[in-house]
Amino acid sequence: MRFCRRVCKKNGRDFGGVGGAVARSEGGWDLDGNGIMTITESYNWWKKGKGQAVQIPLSTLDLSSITTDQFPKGIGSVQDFNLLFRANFRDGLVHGTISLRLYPNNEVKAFDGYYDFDYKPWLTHPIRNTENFFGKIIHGYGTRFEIDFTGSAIINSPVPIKRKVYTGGIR
Amino acid sequence: MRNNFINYAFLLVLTLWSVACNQGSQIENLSEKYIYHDGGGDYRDIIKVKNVTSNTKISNLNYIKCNVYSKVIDYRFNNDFIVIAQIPNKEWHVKAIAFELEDIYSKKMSRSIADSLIKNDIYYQKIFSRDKNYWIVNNKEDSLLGPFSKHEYFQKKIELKVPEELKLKDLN
Repeated sequence: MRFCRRVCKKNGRDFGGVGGAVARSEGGWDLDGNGIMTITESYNWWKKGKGQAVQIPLSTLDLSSITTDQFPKGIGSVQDFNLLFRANFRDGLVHGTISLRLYPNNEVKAFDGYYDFDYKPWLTHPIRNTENFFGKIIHGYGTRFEIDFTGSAIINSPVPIKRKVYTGGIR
Repeated sequence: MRNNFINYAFLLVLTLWSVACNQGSQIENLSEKYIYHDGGGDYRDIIKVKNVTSNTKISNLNYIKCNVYSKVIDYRFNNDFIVIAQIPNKEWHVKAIAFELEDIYSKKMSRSIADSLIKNDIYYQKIFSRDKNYWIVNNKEDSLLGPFSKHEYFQKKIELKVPEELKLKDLN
């Protein structure tokens, strides 16, 4: 439970962020016991989890590439972020795109989703479906499972550009 | 030549591996205040921007009635209106409502309140009294109207002068 307390304390509010602890104590998806879902663990759960939902503390995801100015509608709005395209391969391969809602003080909460390879209409989702196609080949048969993001996380404010920096040049 | 082949093969495997991932959820902006959220499976909602700065128990309960929860099966929109078809799903309603209530209550308490709302609140009883519901978001007046039966929906559409081109698939 030490992990749970750390997450809850860090976020300053109690959303019941016990994902890591539950996963470990029940011999669940968290094979290495660090609370972070890796592609190996998600693959393993896809094969052996029998569709059982997993709880993942949002604060275990690397959201350092997301800033508050990426929510154009401001506080209270929801925006989706493809973590794979944000140089976050560890989380991107597992979660793909996540939907976040922005709260005051740079806090975000994530909507729950599925670990799945479902197809959408090809005309409107060609890239997504191509990714799914290869994903399904590599993963093979398995059972989809629900990902329940617990707790909240803090994202960065945009870095202000204070002055131009002139570098180098031919002398 | 052989080295080139190995390099290309390695690059191909790397590319395939890097794009072979779970897709997660996605959203689509429908208006200044509403989005469509698809979390995979039956998790398909139409959600309003939430006023989280003055998030009280009452405002939270009012807010959840501004959304159309799973499963949204079709929607059409223009600047003034969003028309929605929904096959209501109790399990996903509980999950979605609990998610919003977690801003105020603990996870366990949120789930319990959400369960109770679905069972006892007249608003939700009306939603689950039909297999299929229809909704209209009037952006000009910032209001969500529904749940409607097919007949009520057509009447409301005429009354609000919703353009003909906003036609839901199963009602064509």
